[in-house]
Amino acid sequence: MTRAGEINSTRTGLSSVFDGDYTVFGLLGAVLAVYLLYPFVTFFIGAQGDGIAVADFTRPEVISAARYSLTTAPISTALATAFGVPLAYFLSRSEFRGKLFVDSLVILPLVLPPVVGGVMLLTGFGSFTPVGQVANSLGLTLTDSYIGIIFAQTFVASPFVVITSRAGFDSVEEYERASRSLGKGPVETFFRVSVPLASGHILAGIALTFARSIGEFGATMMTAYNPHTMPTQIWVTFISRGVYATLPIVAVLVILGLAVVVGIRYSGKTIGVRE
Amino acid sequence: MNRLDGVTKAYTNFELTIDIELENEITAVIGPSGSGKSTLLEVISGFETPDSGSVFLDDRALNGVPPEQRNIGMVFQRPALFPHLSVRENIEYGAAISDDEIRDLCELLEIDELLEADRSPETLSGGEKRRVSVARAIVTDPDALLLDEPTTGLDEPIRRRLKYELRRVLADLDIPCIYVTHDQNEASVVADSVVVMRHGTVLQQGGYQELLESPRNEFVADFVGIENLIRGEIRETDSGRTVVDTGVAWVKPDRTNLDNGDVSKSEVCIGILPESVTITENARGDGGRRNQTQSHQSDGTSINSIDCIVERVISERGSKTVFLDCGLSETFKAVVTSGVTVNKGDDVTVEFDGSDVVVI
Repeated sequence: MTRAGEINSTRTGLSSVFDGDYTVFGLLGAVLAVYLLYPFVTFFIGAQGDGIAVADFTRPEVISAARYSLTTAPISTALATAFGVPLAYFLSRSEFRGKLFVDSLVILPLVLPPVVGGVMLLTGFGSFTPVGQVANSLGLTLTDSYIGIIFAQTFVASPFVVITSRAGFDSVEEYERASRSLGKGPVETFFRVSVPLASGHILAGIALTFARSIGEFGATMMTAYNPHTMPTQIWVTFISRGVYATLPIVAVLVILGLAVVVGIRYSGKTIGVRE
Repeated sequence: MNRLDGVTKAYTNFELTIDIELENEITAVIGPSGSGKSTLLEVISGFETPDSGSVFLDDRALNGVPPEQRNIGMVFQRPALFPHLSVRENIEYGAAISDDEIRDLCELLEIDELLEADRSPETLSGGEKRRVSVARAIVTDPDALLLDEPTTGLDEPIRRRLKYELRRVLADLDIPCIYVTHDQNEASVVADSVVVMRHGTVLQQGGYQELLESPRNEFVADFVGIENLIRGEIRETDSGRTVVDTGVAWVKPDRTNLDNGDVSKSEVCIGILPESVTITENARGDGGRRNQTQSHQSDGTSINSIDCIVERVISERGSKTVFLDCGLSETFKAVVTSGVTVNKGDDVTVEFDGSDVVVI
C-alpha cells in the first residue's frame, strides 16, 4: 500500500469512530461520572438514615461557621478580583524580564497543597514575624482571626481569577487594536472593549475564586483554625461526632458549589466573544 | 510627504528594513507569507515600534505617537467588529457623526440596510462584515488607511465584487491607502501603485504596468504574473540580429536594445506573460515541426515562437490555462480564451510579440 493509501485508511478508521460510534468513549466516561456521583449518593442517604434533623442546621456552631465563611469568602474574592484582574491584563499585554517567574508564581498556589500555602503565610504574617508584630502593635491580628481566614483564602483562590481573566484578555487583543486604531486610548479601550468582551471569562474566574475561597481548608487550618469556617467546622464535627453529623454544612457547601457551576455554565453561554 | 525613512524592526528570525515614499493614492503591498507586509502595517499604525528610522505622515513624524493619536484607520484581516455592539454602534464607535452622514457612508458601501433594527455583527455575512469594518475605519476621517488582506477568506464571487467596490471607495478618499494582499490580480485591480516585498525588504515599487514591463528581478516578475521565465544567452545571429538564445528558440525583445549596452550580462532571463501568448496548432504530417513562417530564420531557428506539446489544459471562467512542454527546464504557460480549441497531447506553436518580452 502506498503512503497516501495508508493515510487514507487511517483517516477512514478514525472517521468511522467519530461518525457516530461513541460507545467506548461513553463507557469509559461513565465510569468516572459514576465515581463522581457515588459518594454524594451514599453520603446523603447515609445521613438520612443516621437521623440528622432539621434542628441540626441551626446549631450555633453551624450558624457561626456559615457566617464566617459567607462573610470572608466575598471579601477574599473581591480582593483577588481587584488585584488579580489588573495582573491578568498586565500579563496578557506586557512582555518583561521575569514574566515567566510571575506566570509561575500565579499558578503555584494551584499546584501546591494548600497546607503548604498556610505554612508560607505563617512564616510571612505569623504573630512573631516582623509584619505580624507591626500589625499587632496596630491592634490587628493576622492569624487565628477573621483577617487570617481572608489571607488564606486569597492566597489559595486568587489564581483562578487571574488565569481565567488572562485567557479572556488574550482572546480579545484584536478588538483592542481595532479600538485603538479608532482613536480610543488604552483606558477607554479597556473599559469599552476589553472588559465587556472578556466578561464571561472574568465572571467565571470570580465564581471559581469564590467557590475555592468558601471551600478553603488546608491553608486556613494553618493560619486561622479559629474562628471556624465551614470547612474547618466540618473537620471539627467529623472528629467529634462522626461523618454524617457534618450534613448541614456539607449541604450548604454543595448547594453553593452547584450554584457556582450553573452560574459559570450560564455566563459562558451568554457572555463573551461571540464572533 | 508620506514616507518610511530607514525603518528597521528585527525579530528572532526576520528583519524588516523599509525605505519607501507613499503618495496620496492606493498602494498595494504584495509579497509571499512572511515577507513583512503585515509587520509594515503594524509599524505604520504604531502597534509595533521600529528599532530605528521614522514613519512620516504628511511630513509629521510619528515616532513615539501612540496608535490612537495617529489618526490612521485600519481594516484588519479578520474584521474584528465588536460583537457586543450593533452594526450602527460599531460604525459610530470611532466618531460621532450625523444620521445623514452615516447613511451616506453606508449607501456608498451598500450596507445601509444593515443599520436597521440594531443588527448584531454576528448576523452578517463575511462580505458584509468587511464592508462594515471599512465604514468603521473611514468614519473617523483618517489621514491614512491601512487594509490588511481585507478580502481574505471570502468566497470568490464576493471577493471579486468587493475588490472593485474597494477600488471605487478608496480612490475617492484622497489619502494614502496601503492595501496588503498576496494576490497580484487584486493588487492590479485595486491599487495605483504596487510595492513588492520579500524577506522584510522592498524589492520594487511602481505602477503595476511598470512592474510588468520592467521587473527588477525574477521574483518580482513571477509575483506580478510573468510566470514564463526563461534563461538564455545573448548572441548575434548570422543575419546580424542580436537575440536571446534560449536553446529552443531565439527571442527578440522590442523594448530592450540588446546591442547598445542596456543589458550588461551575456546571460539573461526573459519573461513572458502567459496572457500575451498565442497558440496555433501545427499542421499534421510535418513530423512535429511547424511550417515555415515569417518568425523563422533562414537556418530554421524560430524567433519569438516555440514548438511545444500540450501537457494539460485547465479551463477557468472565460479562459484556459495551457501547460506546455517546450523543451525548456520549466513548463511554459499560456492563457488563452475559452474559444481556443486545444487538448492534451496537441502539437502546437506558441508565439509572442517582441513587445511582450521583458528582459530581467
